[in-house]
Amino acid sequence: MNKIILSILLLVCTIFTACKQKEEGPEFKTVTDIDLGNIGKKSSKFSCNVVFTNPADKAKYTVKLIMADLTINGKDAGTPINDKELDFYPRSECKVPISFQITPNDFIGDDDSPKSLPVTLNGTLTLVDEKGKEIKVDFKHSESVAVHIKKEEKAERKLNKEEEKAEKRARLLELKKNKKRRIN
Amino acid sequence: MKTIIIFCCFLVLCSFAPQVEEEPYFVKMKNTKIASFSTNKIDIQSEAVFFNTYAVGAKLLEVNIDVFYEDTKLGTIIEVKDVKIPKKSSFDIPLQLAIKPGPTALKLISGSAKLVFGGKVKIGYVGYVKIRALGMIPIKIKLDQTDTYEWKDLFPPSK
Repeated sequence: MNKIILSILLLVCTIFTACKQKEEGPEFKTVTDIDLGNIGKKSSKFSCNVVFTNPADKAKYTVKLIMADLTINGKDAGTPINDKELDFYPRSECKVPISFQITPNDFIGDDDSPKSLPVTLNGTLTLVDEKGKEIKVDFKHSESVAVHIKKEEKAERKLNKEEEKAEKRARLLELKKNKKRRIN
Repeated sequence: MKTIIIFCCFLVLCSFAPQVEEEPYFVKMKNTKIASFSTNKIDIQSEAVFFNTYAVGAKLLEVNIDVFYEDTKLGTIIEVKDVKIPKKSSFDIPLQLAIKPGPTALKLISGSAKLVFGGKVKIGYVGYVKIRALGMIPIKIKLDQTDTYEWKDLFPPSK
């Protein structure tokens, strides 16, 4: 009899612990669309989207603030902050945009035209759940980001155009010569 | 009739008036380190991060921040550096304090010993900075922050 009661109790306990699984909170996923802007200028605009996931079935959150220490090429480039509120729905992803004015001269070393730069974001996302409880999610992301210098791009485009024009001229000259030969 | 027209004009003017914006605020201290350490002088460097909530840029007018080591006041930072304060963005104010470790020598030495043996020390910043946004009256942004630091924080390996 005792054995039966004990086994029932054990079963009940296991069912309860299985049901009382804690709902998972928001998690950092990745950082996308990192752009350093035109670093050929005195100041350029850094922008990216920090992606978080909410695996919970019911819990809805409100994003209050995102703050990250930005390091570019191993040097401190500032602390981008976004304090615009965003809704973070259950079983969904939330992209939190960050943008910040950076001074390229502060982090570009001797190499004037680097092809890529290592970028690190180390920060915290502050959310509030429906009961008003504050939750903080830390995140860290490092990535090598391709650099665009518009001046160089423009110069390249100009060179390409000039080359195309020269080719066209050469073709026209050849055509004219051929015509003359035919007439002669 | 006249009063109605005047009242309507007043309402229209009110709708055009700028919204009351949230005031700029202190965010955190970062990059706190001891730049140089000798028997006659200790240089403490740090950066205070603030957020300019205004839709216009601003200018730094005044800095008045007391620096505390544990509970002992080390000195006051009043140096105003040329800092660019962009609109609707965070900005860093570099802070530097050079102290002569005369009266606080014993406490600092014991603190250094604590750090060497893996302990932590408290450094606090209490005070305010004054900024003025374009076309607005100067505003004081208060800060009161105490953080604990380990050896690796205060003496970071040089890159």
